[in-house]
Amino acid sequence: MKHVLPLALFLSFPAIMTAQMGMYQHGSVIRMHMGDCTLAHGGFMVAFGGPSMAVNQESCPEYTLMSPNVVYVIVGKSSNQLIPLSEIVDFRLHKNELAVRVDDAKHESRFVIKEMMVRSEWERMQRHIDEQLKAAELRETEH
Amino acid sequence: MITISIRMQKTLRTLWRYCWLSALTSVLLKAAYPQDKLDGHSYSSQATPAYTYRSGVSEVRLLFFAADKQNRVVDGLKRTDFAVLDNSWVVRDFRSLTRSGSVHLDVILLVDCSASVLPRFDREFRNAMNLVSQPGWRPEDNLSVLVFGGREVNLVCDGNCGNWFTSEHMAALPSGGATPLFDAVIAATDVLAQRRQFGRLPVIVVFSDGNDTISVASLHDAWKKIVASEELVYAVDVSGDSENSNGNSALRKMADDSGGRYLSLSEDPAELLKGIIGDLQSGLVVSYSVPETTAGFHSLRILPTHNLNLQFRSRRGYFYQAARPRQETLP
Repeated sequence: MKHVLPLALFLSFPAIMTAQMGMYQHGSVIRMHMGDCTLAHGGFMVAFGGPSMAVNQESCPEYTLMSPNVVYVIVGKSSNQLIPLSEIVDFRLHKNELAVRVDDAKHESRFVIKEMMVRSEWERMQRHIDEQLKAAELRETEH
Repeated sequence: MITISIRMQKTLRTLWRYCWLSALTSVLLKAAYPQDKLDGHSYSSQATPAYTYRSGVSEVRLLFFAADKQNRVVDGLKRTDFAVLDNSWVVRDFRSLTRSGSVHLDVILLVDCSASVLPRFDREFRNAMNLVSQPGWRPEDNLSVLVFGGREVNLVCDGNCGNWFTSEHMAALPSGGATPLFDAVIAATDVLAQRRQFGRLPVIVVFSDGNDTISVASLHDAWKKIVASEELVYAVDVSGDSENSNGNSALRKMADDSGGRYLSLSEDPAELLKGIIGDLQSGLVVSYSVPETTAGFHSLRILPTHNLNLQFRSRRGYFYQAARPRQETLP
């Protein structure tokens, strides 16, 4: 009897893994910079809590992750929470956070979700920003 | 008779085709260029047309160095192993990836002769001598020497200076006075910029304690010039201070942000100097299109795509200039 449980766990391991793999969505990191850690450390209250809150000098990695339908802006919880910038990233939503599967380390890295936007809306916004930048550039070069 | 009539028919058909085509061409030309427009654009001195050309750089060429966690050079790096962060945009689509080993070097050795390094000047001079006597240099590499001290910045040897470091030259050098380090760095970037050639890598090797005392230019001016001119700076700190000081942080800033290295002579000098030559030959050059055409400073960083143990070193940014309009008139 005492051998049954480990055996059952061992046999069900591939099935669990497959199920977990199936949960993953795919996306691509298109932007990355070191930004403010406030949101990652204290959430909404620290971010908008006013000047009485402690100021954190640390910078945390901020990624823009583009999936087929949604664009996420996610923030790491510490300065060294880096994810490899491969073409395709596996991720899943887990308890208001976004868990990214890091291939080489064979583990998940959890990020705070800062922003979420429908991809078509994000692309429309980017086009608008590009047009504005180009117009400003043109004005600058002509004067 | 039948043969003649067939030939006549063929000739007539060909003539008809030519007439029809020439009529069509003239109609199309008239539609595209009406007479008034053609008159306005006649090549007379009365109305010289002005054409506006826009030119801008859309390709970035970036020299970088890849190492593992133990700081050993990584061989066989592939395009898919890294991504460039250009103004925070991830670039994975590269136009080319080549080794810098085939690139010829244009090197300026900047030697500090000021009073602050006088006690260690002999050692500094010998280290510069050791560097030029390293076997890694090639005959095509350009090597110049610029010395600074007091208020003076002098290019004492220009071009092939492999044999310049002799005791006679050392004795003849002016020594003492203040340290115009930042002015000297700017002077070196100007010399390198004047003889800039495609396929030649401009490098500055500074031997100094980093304590500037008299320059007209600031550290920021020198930094800006280095970043804009895309030169690689190796800073050899001759002060021997292991603790952080203004001097070594200035040297570190210039070296690190250019993609070069800060080296301290408190470590084994022979190994350090060998390291500079090895470094210059192990570099990789990647080129890609600018992902964002915002004019001004573009920050740069290289990160791994798979193996997080890989470490990359490159310049920290470049200045992007937007397409500039240029009006030209026909002669």
